[in-house]
Amino acid sequence: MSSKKETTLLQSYRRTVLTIIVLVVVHYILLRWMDGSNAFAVLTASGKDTPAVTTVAAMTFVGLRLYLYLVVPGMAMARIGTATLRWYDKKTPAAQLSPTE
Amino acid sequence: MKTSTLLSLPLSLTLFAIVTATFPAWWCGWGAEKWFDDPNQQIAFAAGFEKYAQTDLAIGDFGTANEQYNGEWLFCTHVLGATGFAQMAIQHPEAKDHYVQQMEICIDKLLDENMQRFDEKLWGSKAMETLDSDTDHHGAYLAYLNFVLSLHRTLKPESKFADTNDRITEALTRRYENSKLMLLETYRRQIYPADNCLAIASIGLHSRATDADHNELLDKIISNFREVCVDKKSGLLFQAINYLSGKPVDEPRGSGTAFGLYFLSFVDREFSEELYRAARKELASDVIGFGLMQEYPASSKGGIGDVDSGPVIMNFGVSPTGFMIAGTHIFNDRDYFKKLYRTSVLFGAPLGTGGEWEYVCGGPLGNAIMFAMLTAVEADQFESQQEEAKL
Repeated sequence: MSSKKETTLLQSYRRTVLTIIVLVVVHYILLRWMDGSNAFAVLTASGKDTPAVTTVAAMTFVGLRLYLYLVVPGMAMARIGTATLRWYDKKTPAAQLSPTE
Repeated sequence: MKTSTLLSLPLSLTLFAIVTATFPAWWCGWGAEKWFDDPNQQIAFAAGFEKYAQTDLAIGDFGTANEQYNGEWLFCTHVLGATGFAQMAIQHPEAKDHYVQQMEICIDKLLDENMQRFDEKLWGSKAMETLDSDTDHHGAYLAYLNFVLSLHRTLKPESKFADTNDRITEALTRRYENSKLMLLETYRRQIYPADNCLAIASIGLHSRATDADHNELLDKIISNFREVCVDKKSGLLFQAINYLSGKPVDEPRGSGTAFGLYFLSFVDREFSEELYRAARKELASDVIGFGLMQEYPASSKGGIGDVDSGPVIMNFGVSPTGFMIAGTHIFNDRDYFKKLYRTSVLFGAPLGTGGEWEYVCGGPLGNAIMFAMLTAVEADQFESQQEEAKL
């Protein structure tokens, strides 16, 4: 039983870490692509004639970057914190505050 | 009820708040000190910017949807690029010849007829053909060009541009003397104090690099400039001045002040520092460790900005935030530099590969601005370099 609970906690950690890794990798690939294709210069120079793929990629990149830098670290820590708390709660019945539960 | 059920939400929120308030700033500020202490950081940015200097950029490479602004942006890219290379030559004497050469590539382009079109279009005359008369000031082109030429002269007294530099300086000093307001018009009937800072700096640098003595006139120009262009309440520069009355026709603003103080630092450190302290006091702020400069001081009516300030969101301006980085570097304000640098990293997305470094989201002008700002020379260092060059 205990081993199953630990696995659940580990799974939660793993999922969080994997999500972060995927976001970082996608961000890095987009960053390199934007640099290689000079995408921002194309965006500013071409106006309405900018290829749709460049516009979408640039918008995705900017959104992803702000999300990754400003939101993800706090969110990941919150998820790890609550997962740890739940695991601790299940592991130690004495931690229950009310007998009705 | 279980502890986890009770504490889950407050714990999540607390952890989220603590991490968000600290981690992003730490992450984006990583390596900020290198801009002061590690010469390789500047060298990598210079190497990254060289591709813009060597590419034949055209008006079509800028996307403001306004040909006039595109022309100004193309011109400013080369002015600021040349300035950045000059600063590199000052701070890295071992590679001085290389950086002066890069600077000359930019200057050759600045002298090209196509580069002057934006100025010619609004003045209705060619700047270089009016040097013997004073009816058309051509501040938009001549102040910026002459600043770069004087800077080049400082580094290389036998400059191949010496004759052009002398002629423009003579025209500018004469135009100041003959101007009723003792101010230079950027475009016909349009006076911008920030642009006058470049003209003033160009005359001061020329005076130091040559035997020409403009000091008495320069003192008069600066004294008048302080009186007319500096807002007594905030200590900031007014953005625009009425060409007839000499009264301000725009608010004191962050973009003009941060830009102007950078150029004034080359010739009048004390005045530049006064403007820097005022901008720091009136406009500097930060959000979770990311430095943001306001465009309008609290004492003004405020506004929505324009092409000079870039987008102004909740009074925070893109241009003043970028331009202020130079001030923090010049006056060794490491604490605020770090905050502004973090903002540039978050929105500019820098990337360093193969010994080159650049802002992926910057494009030519963004990189030119940041190149000049991040390589700005500490005031003491610049003065001692000038003395050495004279000896």
